[in-house]
Amino acid sequence: MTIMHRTSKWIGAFAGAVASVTLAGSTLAAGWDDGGGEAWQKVLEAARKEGPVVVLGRPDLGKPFAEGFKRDTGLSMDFLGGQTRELQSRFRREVASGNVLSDAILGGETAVDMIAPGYLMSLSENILLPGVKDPKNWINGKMQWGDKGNTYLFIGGEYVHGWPVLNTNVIKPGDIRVWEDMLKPQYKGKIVAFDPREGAGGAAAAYIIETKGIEFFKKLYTDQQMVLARDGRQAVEWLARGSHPIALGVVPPDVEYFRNNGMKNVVVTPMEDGPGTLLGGSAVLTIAKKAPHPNAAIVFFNWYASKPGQEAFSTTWRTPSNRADVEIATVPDYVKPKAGQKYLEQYREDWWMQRRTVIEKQLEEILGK
Amino acid sequence: MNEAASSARVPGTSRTAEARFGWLSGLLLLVLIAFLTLAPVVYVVIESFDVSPLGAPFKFGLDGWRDIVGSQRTWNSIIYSFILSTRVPIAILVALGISWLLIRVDIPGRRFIELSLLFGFFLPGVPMMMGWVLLLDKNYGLLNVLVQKLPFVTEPLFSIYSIPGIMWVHLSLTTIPIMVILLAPAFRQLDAAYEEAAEMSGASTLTSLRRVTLPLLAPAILTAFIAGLIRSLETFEVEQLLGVPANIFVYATRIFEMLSREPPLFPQALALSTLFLAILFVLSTFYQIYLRRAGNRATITGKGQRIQSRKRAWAPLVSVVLIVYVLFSIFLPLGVLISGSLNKLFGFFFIDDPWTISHWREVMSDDRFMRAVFNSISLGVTVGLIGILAFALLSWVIVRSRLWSRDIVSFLVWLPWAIPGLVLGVTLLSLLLNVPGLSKLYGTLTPLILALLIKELPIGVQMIRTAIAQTSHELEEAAKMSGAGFLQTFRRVTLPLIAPTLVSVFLLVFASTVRDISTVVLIAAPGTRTLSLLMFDFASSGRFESAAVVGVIIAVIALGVTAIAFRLGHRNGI
Repeated sequence: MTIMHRTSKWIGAFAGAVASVTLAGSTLAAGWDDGGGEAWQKVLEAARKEGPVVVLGRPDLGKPFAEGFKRDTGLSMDFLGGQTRELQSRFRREVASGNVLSDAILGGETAVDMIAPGYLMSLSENILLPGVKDPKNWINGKMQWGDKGNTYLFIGGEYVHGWPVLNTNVIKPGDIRVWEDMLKPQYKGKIVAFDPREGAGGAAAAYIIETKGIEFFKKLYTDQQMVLARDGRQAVEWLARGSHPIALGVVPPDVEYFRNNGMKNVVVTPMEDGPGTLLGGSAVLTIAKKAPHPNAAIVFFNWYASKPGQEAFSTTWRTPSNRADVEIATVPDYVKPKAGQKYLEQYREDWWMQRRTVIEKQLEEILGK
Repeated sequence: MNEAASSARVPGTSRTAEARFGWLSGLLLLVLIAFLTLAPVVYVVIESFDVSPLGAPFKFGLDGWRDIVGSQRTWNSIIYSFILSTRVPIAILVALGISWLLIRVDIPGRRFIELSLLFGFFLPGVPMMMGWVLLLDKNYGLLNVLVQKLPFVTEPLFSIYSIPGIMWVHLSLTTIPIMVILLAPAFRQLDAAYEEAAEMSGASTLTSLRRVTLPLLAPAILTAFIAGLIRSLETFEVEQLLGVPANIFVYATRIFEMLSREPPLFPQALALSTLFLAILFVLSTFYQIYLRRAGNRATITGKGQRIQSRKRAWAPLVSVVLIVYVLFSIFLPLGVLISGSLNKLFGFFFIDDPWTISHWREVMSDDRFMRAVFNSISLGVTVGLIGILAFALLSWVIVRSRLWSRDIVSFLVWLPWAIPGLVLGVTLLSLLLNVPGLSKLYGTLTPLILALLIKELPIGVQMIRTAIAQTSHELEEAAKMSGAGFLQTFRRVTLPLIAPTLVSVFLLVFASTVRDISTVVLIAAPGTRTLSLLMFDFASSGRFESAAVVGVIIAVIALGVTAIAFRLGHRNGI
C-alpha cells in the first residue's frame, strides 16, 4: 500500500517537474492581477509554499480551470470532479469534522447552511485584486452573493433557466408560445422533465410553481403524463430522437453539446408569459474556513472572480458571467439575463431558506415522498 | 458456544491449529473483524436517529424512521426490489445448466464460452447498459426497428424501461455471468466419480443431477443465492436510468434519491439502510443454521478426484446455442459500446458525418487518464491479492479452527453487504474524518483498498469457506502428520486444493474493484481516481461518448486480466 502511494506520489512529482520545466520556458499571463500590491504578492508567495489548491466541481471544469490557473498564477490545482450531490456530501462531512482536505467547492446554493456553524471562509474580506473589487467590472455595479451578508457564497455567473426545449422536427417553434400551450392534449406523454426532486429539474419546477401556481404545475407534470429522467443528458437525448419532443429542466451544457454536434433541431424556446428564473448553477464558490491551503484558496477565489477565471467558466459552461467585461461568443442568447427584467432569483438566501422548503414539500405531496 | 459443541459441529478440527490459537487470538480476530464490519453498521444505525442540523451535536429523533415508514413510495420500492430480485433464482438455474455443460460435457468452444462470461462480468455496467438502451428502446431501439420490418410485427416488441427490460440487462450483463463464476469452481471441485457411481447404479443423468450433484453443491448454491439476492437488492445504476422514467423505484434508488436532496436526507437514507440490515440478519442466520445442519460435505478427499468431461451427441447443438447466447448478450452491446465511442453523439447514426475519433483523442490526452489506468490496475491487483489471502485465512479459521469467536466472526463477515455502496462510502468517509489516526490516511490509496476489501469480504469469505468445507480435513491432517507446520500446510495443501475458487475470487474482486464507483466515489482524492471514476466524471458531464471510450479501455483491461487468469489456471490444471 505504501509502495503504491509512493509510486502515485512519484507520478505526481514527475508531472509537477515536467510542468515546472514547461512553465520555466514560458511566462505567467500578465495584466489580469495588476494592482494587487503587496498583500496580493504576499498571499501569492505563501500559496506557492502550500502546494496545489484542491477544488471540487463539475468534471468538465477541471481541465480549463487547472490549465488557466497554472497559466495565470503559476500555481497548481488538484480538481476533483463529480456530481454536485457527491461533492457536497464530501465537503460537508470534511468541514463538519474539522478534518478538511478540500479547499473550495463550486456548487449550488446548498452551501448556505454551512454559514451558521462557521464552516466557511469570508470571501468578501479576501478580495485582493482591484479588478475584482471595482464595481465597474460587474453587471449592475456589484458582485453577486448567495448569502444575505454578501460574504461567503460568491456567485460568478447566473443564467436564465426554466424554458422548455423543443425538437423542432416534431414541434414547430410557434406552436408553444405560452405555458398554457404545454397543456394541449397532443403533448400528453410527449414531455420529458429532469426530475423535479433534483437540482436543475427542481429549479424549473419551482419557477413554474412560483409563476403559474401549484394547480398549473399539477396539470403539467401529472395530467400531461410527463416522463421524468434522472439524468439531464438522457432527457436531451430523448428530445433529440423525437420520442419526447419537449424537455423541461435541462441545463445549457447538455443542450449546447447536442446542438454543436449537429442536432440543430434541439431548440430552447423562451415563453412569452414569463422571463424565466435566474440560477447560479455550478458558479457558486465557497471556501472552507479551515482550508488546508488557505493562501492558495484565496488566490483561486481572486482568480475565479477575475476576467480570465470567469472566461474559463463561461466558456466551459456556456453560461454568462456576472462580470461586465466577460462576453463569450459561444454563450447562447437564451441564457443571458436581459437588462431591466425582473427574474425570480433562486440563489438568494431568503428565497432558498423560506420558499424553497415550502415548494419541496408541495413537490413531495404531488410526486410522492 | 462450548468447546464440545464446537468440536461436534466441525469434525475436521485440527488439534495442532487449536494449540496455536488461544483465547487471545480469538479476541484479536474478533476485534479486527468487528472494527472493519461492525463499525460502519453501528454508525449507520446511530446516525439514522440523528436529526440534528449540520455541525450540531447528536440529537435523538425518529423523524427519519417516521418518514420512511410513512412513505408509500418506500414500500413500493421495497416491493419492486423483491420483484426484481426474482432474477436471482432464474440466473442460478441458467448458470447451473451452463456450468454443468461447461465442466461435465465436452462441448465445442467451451473455453470461449466460459471466457466470454467472465469477460462479460468485467465489463463496465453503465456504458454496456447504454448499449442495450440503443438496442431495445421502445421508440428507437435498433432491434425493435429490425423486428418491425417483419411482415407480422406492427408494434415494438421490446421496452427497456420496464421490469422485464431491467431484468434482462441485469441477467445478461451481471447476474448470469457472476453465477457461473460462483458455481463453476464448485462443479470443478466435485469429483465426477459421485455422478458416475449414480449413473452406473441405473440413475439417469437428470436423476443423478437431482439426487447427487445438486445436494452436494447445495452450500455453494445457497451461497450464490444469498449473495445474488443481497447484491440484487443494492444495485442502483441500472434502476436509476431505466427504472425512474417508468416510475419504478427500488430500495437502492430511494436511498440514492434521499442522498441527492439538497441538503441530503441522511437520517431517512440511513433508516432505510437499517431496515435492510434486518433482512440481511434473517438471511445470514438462515444460512448459518443451514450450514450447521448440512454438516461436512467434503467432495475432495485423499482418494483423488476426476473431473473428466464426457462426450455427448447433442453437445455441438448446445454449443451453438451457448455461443449465440454469449454473442447476443455480451458481444452485441459491447459492439454498440465500441461504435458509440466513435460516434459524434452516442448511438446517433443518422446524423451527417456521425463518426469521429475526437473522443478517443480527448480521453487519451486527458491528464487524469494514465494515472487512472495505473490506479485501477494497481488497486485491482492489490485488493485481489490481499483479498484472496485474507479471505482464505479467515475462511480457514471459520471452517477449521476451534477459536471461540469463529461463529461471531462468521456472522460479522456478512455485515458489509447490509450497506449499499453509496451509504458505505458516506460511512467510511465519516469514520476516516472523525476517528483519530485514520484521518492521516485520507487522501491516499489506503482507504480505497480498505473500503474495497470490506465490500468484497462477504462474497470472498463465503465462496472460499464453501470451497474449504468441500475439501476433506484428512488431507491437511496427512500433511501435519508428515511434520508440516500450519503455514506450510495452508500454503502447500489447503490453498492448492481450493485454487479454482481462489482464481475465481481474485477475478471477482479485481473486476468489482475496477468497476466500483459508489463505494469509492466519496473517498477517492484527486490523485487516487480510478478509470471507473473517470468514466463517471465524463458521464456526469453528459459526455457519454468519452465515458464509452473509458468503458472500452476497461473492457480491454478486463480481457487481458481474464486471459492471463485463464492461462494461469489452464497451466496449473484448474
